[in-house]
Amino acid sequence: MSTPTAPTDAEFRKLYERTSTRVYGYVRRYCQAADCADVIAEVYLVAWRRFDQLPVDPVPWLFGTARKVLANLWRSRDRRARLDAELCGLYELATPDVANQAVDRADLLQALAALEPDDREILLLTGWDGLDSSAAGKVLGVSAVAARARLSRARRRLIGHVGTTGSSIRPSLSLLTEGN
Amino acid sequence: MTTRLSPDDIQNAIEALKPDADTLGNAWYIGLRENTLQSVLARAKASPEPATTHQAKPRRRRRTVLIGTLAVVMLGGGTAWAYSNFTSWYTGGALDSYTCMTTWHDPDTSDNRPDQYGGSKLTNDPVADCATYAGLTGKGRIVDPVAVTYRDALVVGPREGMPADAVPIVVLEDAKAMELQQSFDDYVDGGASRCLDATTGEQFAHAELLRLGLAGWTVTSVEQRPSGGECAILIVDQLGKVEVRTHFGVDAGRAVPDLVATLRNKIADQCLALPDAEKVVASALEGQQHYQATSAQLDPAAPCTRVDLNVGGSLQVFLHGPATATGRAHGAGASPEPNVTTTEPRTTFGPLTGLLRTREHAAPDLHNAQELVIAQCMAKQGFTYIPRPYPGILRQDPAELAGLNKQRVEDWNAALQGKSIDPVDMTKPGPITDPTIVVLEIPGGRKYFRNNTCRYAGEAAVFGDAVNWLTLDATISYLSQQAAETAAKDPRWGAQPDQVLSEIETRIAATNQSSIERYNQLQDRALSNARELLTHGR
Repeated sequence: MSTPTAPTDAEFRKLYERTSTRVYGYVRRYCQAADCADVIAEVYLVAWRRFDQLPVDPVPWLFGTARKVLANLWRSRDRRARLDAELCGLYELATPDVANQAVDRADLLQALAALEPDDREILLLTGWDGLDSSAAGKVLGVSAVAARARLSRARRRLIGHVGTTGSSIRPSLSLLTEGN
Repeated sequence: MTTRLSPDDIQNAIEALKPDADTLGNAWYIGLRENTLQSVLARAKASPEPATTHQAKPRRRRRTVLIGTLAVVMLGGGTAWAYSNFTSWYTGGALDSYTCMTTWHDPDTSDNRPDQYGGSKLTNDPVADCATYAGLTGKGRIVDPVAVTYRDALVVGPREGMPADAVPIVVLEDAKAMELQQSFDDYVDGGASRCLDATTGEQFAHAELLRLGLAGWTVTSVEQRPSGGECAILIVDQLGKVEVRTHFGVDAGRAVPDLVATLRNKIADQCLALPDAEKVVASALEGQQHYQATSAQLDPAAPCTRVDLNVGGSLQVFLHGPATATGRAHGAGASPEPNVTTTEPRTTFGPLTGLLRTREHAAPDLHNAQELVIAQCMAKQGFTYIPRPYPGILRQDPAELAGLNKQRVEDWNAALQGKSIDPVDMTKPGPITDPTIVVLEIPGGRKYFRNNTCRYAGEAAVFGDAVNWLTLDATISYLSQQAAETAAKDPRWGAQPDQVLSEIETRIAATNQSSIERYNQLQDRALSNARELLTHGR
């Protein structure tokens, strides 16, 4: 017989210190700065309650939980505001200096902003958060095969967007650049 | 200007945009980070979830049932399920879903609108599932529904007004393939209920393919790189192909142990009709957070209801069973006092059932003795390894890897089970020069193991000659697979699966008597070694 128990403070702190910055990096892309701490708190509250079920690499699990918490957050808010927050996060977090790449930074950011959110999400999960397609699939709630297919499609669509300007820019992006 | 880029170019460019670690660290500064942690701890301790207990049980052989034509039935008075529960969950998961809409709109909009509902797949029929969800949520049914792929989502909407870019689904997902994956992901007695390796994973896959009547499928083992842990996962990669992804993780069997035990005791080990099983599930899920709607599918040909529990972030139970049960309960859960060990060897999911001695009643001691040796071996190399009590289902303890950097974690894994062996390297001409690789010659081909690992040390300490033991074990597994595959081709298979399998196993055993007798003798000696180690080896 065995009795699952809550984690000790030390165990939980280890998990938190090991993972919270990455979770912040993910969450910050999708919410305004003022909301991030609350979102992260919700994520780790679930993690505390499900501590026995956390995989060895808990990051995809935590990201998946964060995704649902964010969905709850935005459910009651305007979709346009959600998109604005997401694009703000993208521009604020992207590293300012990009050298020796095949794509101009500004072009790439604009192209990313022009993508459908699902395409952008899987590209950043793999490109920024360091997940492979299988782990990204876990976050998104799809099979590894589906995740690979989505990633391939997203890359093709991004390639198609890169280099085009003007009409492909979303209205919300131009509002951001105008300082609204 | 249009730039011609490769996928690698674009991926590299995205990675180059990755936020600077210092920038993130500054934003998630220590004060904010610590305050958030304290807030979580305070809230968690203020409203803890009730503690639960579970009892480890040996696995039972899954009943071999023939699946006839499946029909989806919404049984009145079945699972009581509140849609508000469903919309409030927010844990990550790996469940596909349908979006049901009574008027056409972008499926990417908020799901909290009156003309949209849906959820995880209950069956392979999206129209039927949306009718189920309409009943469960109380939202309107879809008029003249059509199932489509629309903006990368599986959607059911009204035929009238269907968007031009919606693509009708003309071929439903294969129902048996769906059940196969549910079984692979099952925590009750399926692929996620125990820690599988390449051999046992392939064995389980073949057994399930036979059980579901799926002929002509291939099963391939693929090494997960980098290694995530000791346990394999099984994936229906595409129709006709199963992939056993070895060393994928250590997640096997750890989730919701009390729920697993309930479903095993009250459904898997019993013989229930579908409505009765639904009631058990409904009761078992009370108080659980984050669960999907239960899938209950009628299988008129099944004598009893079978159950699969999948766990993503949320839980989902899949039931397949008859309106009236016609079989008999067979598991330990059918008795009032279930025991982990018994005085008489019982039939289990395993090779050449009934022909091998020293099965279940010896398994705990054999397992625990090996774990003890592994822990001692790891300690000699400066690593912490916490022995897993039988049947080996235990989450990895953070203490094992505490303070280890990435290289040391790799060293830990290598010490435990060795660096992976690339099958391609093994097919190159010439002798194998790596002294740490042991070659096992078995019927059907070669298998390779590392002999410089603590796992190998555990095998050697309990079974004496590890090469001999591993060869015999692999041989018996191979013979078992052959028996199962031969049985499935027998014209009597559908009507009398157990009898056919027993006859074929007996026939195969008669022509492999020396291997079986050596296996039995080795098991007898191993049990004696194991008990000696457990008594004096600490």
